[in-house]
Amino acid sequence: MVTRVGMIMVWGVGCLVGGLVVSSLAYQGGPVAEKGAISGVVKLAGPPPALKPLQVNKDQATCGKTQPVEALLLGSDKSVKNAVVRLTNISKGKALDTAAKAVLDQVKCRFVPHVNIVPVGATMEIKNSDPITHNIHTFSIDNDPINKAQPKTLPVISTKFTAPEIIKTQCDIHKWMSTWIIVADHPYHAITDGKGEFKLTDVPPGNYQMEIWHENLGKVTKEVTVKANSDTAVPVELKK
Amino acid sequence: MLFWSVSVGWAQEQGAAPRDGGAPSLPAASPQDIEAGKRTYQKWCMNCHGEEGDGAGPAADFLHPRPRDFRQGLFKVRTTKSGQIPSDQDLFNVITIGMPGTGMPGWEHTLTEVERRQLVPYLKTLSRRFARATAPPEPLKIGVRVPSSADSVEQGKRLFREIECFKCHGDDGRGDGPSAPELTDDWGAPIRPANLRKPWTFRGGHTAEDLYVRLQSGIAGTPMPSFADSLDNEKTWHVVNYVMSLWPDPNGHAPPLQVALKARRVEGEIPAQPGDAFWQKQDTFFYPLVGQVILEPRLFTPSVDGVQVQAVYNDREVAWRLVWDDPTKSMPDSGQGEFEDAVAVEFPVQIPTGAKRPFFLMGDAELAVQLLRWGSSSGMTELNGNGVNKVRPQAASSDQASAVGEFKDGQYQVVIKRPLRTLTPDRDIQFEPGRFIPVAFFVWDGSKGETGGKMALTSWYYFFMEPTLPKTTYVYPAVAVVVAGGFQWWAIRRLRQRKMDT
Repeated sequence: MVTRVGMIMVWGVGCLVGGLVVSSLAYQGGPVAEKGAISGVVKLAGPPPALKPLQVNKDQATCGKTQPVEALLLGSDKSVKNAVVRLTNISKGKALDTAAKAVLDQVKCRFVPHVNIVPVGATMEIKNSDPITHNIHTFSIDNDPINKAQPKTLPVISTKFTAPEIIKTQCDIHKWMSTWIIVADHPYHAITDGKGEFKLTDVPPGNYQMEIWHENLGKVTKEVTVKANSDTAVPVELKK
Repeated sequence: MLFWSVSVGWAQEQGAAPRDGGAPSLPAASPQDIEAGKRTYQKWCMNCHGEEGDGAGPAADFLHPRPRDFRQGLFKVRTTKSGQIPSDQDLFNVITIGMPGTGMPGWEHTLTEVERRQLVPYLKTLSRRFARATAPPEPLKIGVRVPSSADSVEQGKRLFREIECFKCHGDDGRGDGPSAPELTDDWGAPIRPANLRKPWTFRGGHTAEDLYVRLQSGIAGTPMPSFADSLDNEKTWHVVNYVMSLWPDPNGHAPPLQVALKARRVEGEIPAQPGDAFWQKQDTFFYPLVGQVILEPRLFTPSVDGVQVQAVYNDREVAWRLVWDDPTKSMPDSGQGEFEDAVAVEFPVQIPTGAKRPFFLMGDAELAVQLLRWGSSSGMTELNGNGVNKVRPQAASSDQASAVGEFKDGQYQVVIKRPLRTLTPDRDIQFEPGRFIPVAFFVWDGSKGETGGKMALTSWYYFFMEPTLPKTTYVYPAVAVVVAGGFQWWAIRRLRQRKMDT
């Protein structure tokens, strides 16, 4: 027999579970009381793979005759530049800065920077600093795909992204041009610099999963424990 | 609904009405509709588009462009803004009308309207892009039309260069731009920009409104971007008007097929240069080409889809001018497995007297053919064939044909000449005016690996050299009129005289 108490209990448990599920999906940004940090260096393990040179076969007056191969940029000690480091299971931390403006430029037929982190809901300004037409072509499912022509008469295209995703972006007219847009739904994302170094700051203490992704070397996941007022060092090796 | 679908059918015939998204939206779908759509999909669509809609059905390997992979939710022909999903009406339209120039047929006459309508909600279950959309997509507004005029076309031509359409579509619009060879679609497969001079191959139709929408929205899943931010309403229409000015027929229809290629008799020397103004005055005949799929290596996706032919003859020789669009001038010495580009005109060695003709694919054991072949590197060769694997060039001493070929802006133009009669009728066809002589055409695009038996071809058509009427054709009737008239005049005069006498 279904009693009133029974019904209330079922509803109550249902709401609790539902609330937990919902709260675990969305990231909650706010003030962080105790802060730790994660830092490290990303290096390549094993011999560096051979890279094909880019064919710069048109518009050489603007694009030059060669272009740097940015698919894998290694330091002298095999440190990896442009690897994207992010926490994948964090649900609470400092606020995501949606007011920040990300800028992606096209200069001498090269996207600058090669990897961009853009918060969900923030504006990205795409600039064309070249006197020739480029097109911005993104390949994404969770965000609306973009394919817009950008002649020299259209210096800026503004756009926003709505979902976390790693988005490859290229120009079709100049096939060697490519860049990556990392849409972030929380601020704990970093790009390794020329020395392969990264640092995530203001991380609430806890156990996290950290993913390191690189366009050429794939991805690696690490378990990280963050303690208050201390910097957890995590060396990372990526292998082809 | 019925009136609408009839008018769409009419529009398909006339090329007049736009497929805009302004038509009333389809009624909301029920779970039964989705289930029925799934059954229709499995019966009719799966063989190309795959069980899960991944575009990898058993037929997919034989098609270029490949069937759509629905999982990304990217559709080429939409009337919605760039980056947005298509409307239900857009999906319904493509199913109904099909996509010209591809393996996607129109299903209007195979599936009922209800069946086509039910496919739409099923298709939407195949990609999470549709589930993610919280609101219906925004349709593009088609602004007030700027009618075509010399000024508008001129502005469109200027814009074509300014926004750099030529980078992909080529200076002359034949899809031979510098960026064209490296273009790939969203799945990494090679894709060719449209040949703007062949509107009957445009995937989304070729009304002025269709072109407007493609420019404003782009073509999803391909390199064709949206120009909505760089072309306002007026400028978009200027570009549309310029593109439409490139067409052989203002309505965008493919040239009609004529079974008999007629050669006119002319007096005096026939120019050997394909660019000579003489050729502008000759009738043009158009022959569609298909891939050779009879003998291995079979070619299901030939590069060249048609050849234009003109033919004339004088008292000594016959000449054919062949013109076809090939976006890449093949460079056989590049060491990348490229072959030369080539064209061949084929005739039976003996003009048939009965119904029996040589096998059109380069002859058979019983009946031989002659091939007059021009190659972009090798020049003119005469060959005889008793089958595609038994083709032998004639000895150089008996070659009497000559040819001049040119390549410009994505197009080949070749003039081949041969004497009417030769001293070796056992291997050369002897041309006779007034006879229907079987003729067939072959075209090879060397940079796509087309060589030998791997090419685009036609089966037999007819070559007819219009006989000239002898002068006596006019003399005898004139004489007959004079004699008959004269006799009647004399007879009536005699009768009158007799009457007066009595």
